[in-house]
Amino acid sequence: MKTINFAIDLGTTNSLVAHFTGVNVEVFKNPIGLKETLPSCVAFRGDRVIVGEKAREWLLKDSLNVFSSFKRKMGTDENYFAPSRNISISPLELSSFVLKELKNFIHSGEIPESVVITIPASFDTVQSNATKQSGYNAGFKEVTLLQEPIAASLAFFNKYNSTEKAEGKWLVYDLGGGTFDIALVGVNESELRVLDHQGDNYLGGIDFDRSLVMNVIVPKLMQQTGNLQLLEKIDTKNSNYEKLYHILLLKAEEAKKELSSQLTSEIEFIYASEEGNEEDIYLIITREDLKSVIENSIESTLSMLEAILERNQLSSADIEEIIMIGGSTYIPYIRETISERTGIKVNTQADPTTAVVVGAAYFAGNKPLSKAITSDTRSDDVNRISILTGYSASTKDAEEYITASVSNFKEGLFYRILRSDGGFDSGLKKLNQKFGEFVLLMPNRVNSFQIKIYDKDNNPVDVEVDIINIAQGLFSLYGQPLPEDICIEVDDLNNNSTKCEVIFARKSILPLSKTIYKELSRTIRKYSDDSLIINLLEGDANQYPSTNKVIGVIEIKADMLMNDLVKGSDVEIKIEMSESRDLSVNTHLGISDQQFKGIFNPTMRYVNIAKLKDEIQELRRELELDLNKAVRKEEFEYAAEIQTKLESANSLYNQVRALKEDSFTDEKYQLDEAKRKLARQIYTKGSINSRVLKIKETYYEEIELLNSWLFYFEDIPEKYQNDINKLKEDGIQAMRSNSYITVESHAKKASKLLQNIILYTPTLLFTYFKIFAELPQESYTDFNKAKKEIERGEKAMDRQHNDELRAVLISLHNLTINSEIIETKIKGTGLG
Amino acid sequence: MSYHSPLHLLVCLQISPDEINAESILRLKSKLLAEFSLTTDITININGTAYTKDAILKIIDQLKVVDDLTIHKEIYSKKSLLNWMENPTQKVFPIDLAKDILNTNTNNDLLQNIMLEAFGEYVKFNFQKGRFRLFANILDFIPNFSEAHSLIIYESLYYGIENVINDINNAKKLPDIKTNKLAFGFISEPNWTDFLNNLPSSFEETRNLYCVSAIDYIVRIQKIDYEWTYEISAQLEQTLCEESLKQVISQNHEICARKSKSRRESQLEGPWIWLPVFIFTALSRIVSCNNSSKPKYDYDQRDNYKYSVPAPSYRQPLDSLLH
Repeated sequence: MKTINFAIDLGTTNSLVAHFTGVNVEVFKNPIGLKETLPSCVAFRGDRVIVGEKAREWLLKDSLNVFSSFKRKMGTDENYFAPSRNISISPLELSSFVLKELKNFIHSGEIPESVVITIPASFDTVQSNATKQSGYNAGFKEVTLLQEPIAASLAFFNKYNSTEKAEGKWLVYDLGGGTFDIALVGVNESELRVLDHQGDNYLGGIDFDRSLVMNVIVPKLMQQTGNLQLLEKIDTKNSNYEKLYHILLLKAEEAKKELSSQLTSEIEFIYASEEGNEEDIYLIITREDLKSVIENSIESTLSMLEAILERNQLSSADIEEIIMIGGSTYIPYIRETISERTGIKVNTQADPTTAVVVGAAYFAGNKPLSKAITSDTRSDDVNRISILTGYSASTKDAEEYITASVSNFKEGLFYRILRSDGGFDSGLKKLNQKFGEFVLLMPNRVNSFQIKIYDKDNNPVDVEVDIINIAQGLFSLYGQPLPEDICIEVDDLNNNSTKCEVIFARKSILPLSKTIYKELSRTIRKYSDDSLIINLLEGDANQYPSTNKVIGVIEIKADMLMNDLVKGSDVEIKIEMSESRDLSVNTHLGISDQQFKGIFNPTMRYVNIAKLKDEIQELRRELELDLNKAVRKEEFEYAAEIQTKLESANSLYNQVRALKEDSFTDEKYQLDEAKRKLARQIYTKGSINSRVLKIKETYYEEIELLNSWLFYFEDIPEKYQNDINKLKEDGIQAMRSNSYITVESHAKKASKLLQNIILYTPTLLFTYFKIFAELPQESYTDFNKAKKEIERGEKAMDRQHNDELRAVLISLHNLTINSEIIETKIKGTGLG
Repeated sequence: MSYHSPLHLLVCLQISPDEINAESILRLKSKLLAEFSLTTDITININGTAYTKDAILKIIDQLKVVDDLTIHKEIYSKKSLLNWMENPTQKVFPIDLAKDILNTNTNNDLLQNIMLEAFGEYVKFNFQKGRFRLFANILDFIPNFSEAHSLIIYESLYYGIENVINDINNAKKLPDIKTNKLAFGFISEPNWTDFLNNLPSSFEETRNLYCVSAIDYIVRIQKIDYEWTYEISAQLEQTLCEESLKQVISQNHEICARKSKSRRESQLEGPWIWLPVFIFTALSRIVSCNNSSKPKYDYDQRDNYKYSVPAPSYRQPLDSLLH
């Protein structure tokens, strides 16, 4: 079994490359300057592309042609423009330059074709795909992605022998240059598992640097220079201060680092005013200054830490230590705050800078090369017996199982597995096409085994088989957990909405495969403009689909169908997700016996305009309901807040409506992103239980109304007065329930009672008739009919003929535009 | 997702569940995970069944819990129950075995959950397929679950009926008898009526709503398909519902039956007399409340009844009057 062995930590600010040697990990050094880290910075200088330290230095001279922190833009359509070359360049391409440069660090002369590249746990599938693609663009034939906190955990735990850190749960707090990840790691029976993790793609050292510039350095500079416009202008593209901004960012980073060991840091630079006057500036930055700009961010990392504990029903006492990883955790304030606030011991023994790449190399050391790569190294003799082996290359167990499969198998042969030190010998055993053996391991070292084949006369037979090396004493991971739920969007007819249905639950071990069977929720006629949408999402399956990210869509348009798809007919969907999160979807429509296949590894998002329209429409509906409610309750401040969101939703809706289906601009991606952001703001309540909640809300409003009627209207018939009291009495128990049936049945009783009271309480009957009579023309579906009814109602009122007035009221009610349910009926996906 | 016994894996590997202990589980895990290093496929095949690494790890975790292993063994020993639990939509429901195992392990959450999963799928599937003859057994079985779990099953029935009502309401707008019979043809069968009548009292309002929709539907189709109108009408007559609705149904069905008889005798198309139910249910109460004769309204105008309170916009002015 040949393994990948090489690993790259593609960081926001710095990148590293390392190699698993069989026992240890070697982090390669830059041949120039002998540093382990390569700044993730790319500069375009004429025809030359400069990567790393030199590029970073060039930032001060020509900031427009130097790019950094592009990791955070992976998977987006945002491109950078390099004026020196007049080209637009994507984050993916910039990352490829860094990866190519890292290859120069490998002094051993090896040219790796396969590599493990680390990504933040919070990277979504599109961002992951973009990272993988950058690896391919850099010349690697095989790229396996590994989540950073997992890598960091491996590095940390492999530092200890088998008796230390043998049992318990740890938190890995990884605050890097651009991203933050927190992982809950468990060690049990020599097995290391990542139990949960989460993170933020936009929280890291570079945010601290920027905050330090904008909130500390620039205000101090404004004081010294008297330039009060500086704050507004400094981070504006093409302003006179753009260069100064980049200088200050570098100075802020240096000061931040210095403040880890010193109480104050001095920064010096030359300030040039717009008039061209130069001035030497000298500023002192204190730890307090730094604290003031990072405390909110640290607070938010603590919230994530607490959330992970809560989600896993753990308290601080259940956690052994918090392992600090990532350059930003050098900051003393962070270490102290985390320790003080959680009451958990902070462990800083792992090297924050190299832990991720070291762990990734351990992972790479246990990750078999793909068949495509290994076949290149196989001999050309097609008849030669060849043995492929499978095992865990690192383990904490005292024995390990080796499984083997024989190509060009011949009968009458025997095998023997021997450990190189002679301490283990399987003895001679009959060779089968597949065989396996538990082998004993010497502790805390690499155990080498050889498989030998003999004929019936005990003569050795020439076979092609690799040496088996198993490192005892190192943790291995069975696989990496899925960071988010992968779900499919299906119609939710009961709520006139769509919902997510889990395909692969978060924390499932990759790679994954599943076949699901669904039914069509509506009939799709051939030749219509309808379509069946297989929409795969990534996020929280308990949330509304619009808050999750689309990772793959198959749109089966009606004109692609062999015949009509009848409601209720079967759809078979097979979904596979590779370890690096490539998604493949195979859909079979039973009724037309048609197959539709899609392989999704998008490096940018796909957006369906019709679906986007549906989703925004749903948001608008939610907001309108909330707005009405807030106004009725006279919660005007809240209403204003909703109104702002509603305006955003309306504006989004109009923009989407204006989009053409075949538009090739990237506007739809921006609108989709804007929609998701808005949806997350709206659906902050958590899991969907909207139907019960909405019914309960309506019920309580109705009860409130009935109560006030009881108080104001003495002519409510006694029977109904009793009914109200009975309803309220029974309602206490009914509304405590979260069952749809109980809540809804009771709410229906309230609605019915409300209607009856309107019809049989003269005062209310007259009032409601007046309300309906005064409704504007556009409120009615047929205003002429309504007018006649109103005239009839007025006569009935004069004659005090309540029976007739009741009929008129009902008639008017039915003539009002009461069809919003049909009008706003969403199109849905077609899957039930 | 249906239950899949973790013991299948052991059986495939010719390991007796009795041999399972901490050490053997560890060896089993090493052995199986090593197989994944040998292939680039997502799954490994064990005796014809494909397993992902995740599935293997989950099975190993299941086997580690000794108490759960006892339940898995018990299920595994009852083959027909196991078959049904693993394919609840394709197998006959072994009701006695299911009752037996639930009653002997009343407080076992794992068993309750496995059973609920399978039973829920079975109920949903048979509802969708309109197999209401099976529902006498289904309704009889539900009380064997805990109260919370029973509610989950009732909820799925509730949703099912709601969908039927929605389908009928939609069909009412432009009836297409052939398609309608495919979608909800079961409403003219006694099994459907028995099912509705045997539901607990919390379904009372839903049953009434169904009756309102069904009445309105046959009003629309009475001149298109006499036979079906009569059949639905006959079933509605047997359906338990609110007294006022019952009266409407009975009166109309009586005439309907008379006309049907005379039609059969004369083979002539006579006029049909099904009238829409008074759209605002409240109106049906005019009779009972005022004890007066039927109101003389033009009911034909109203065939789009929805149970809805007046929209908030109508309430607002009233609220301002009040406060």
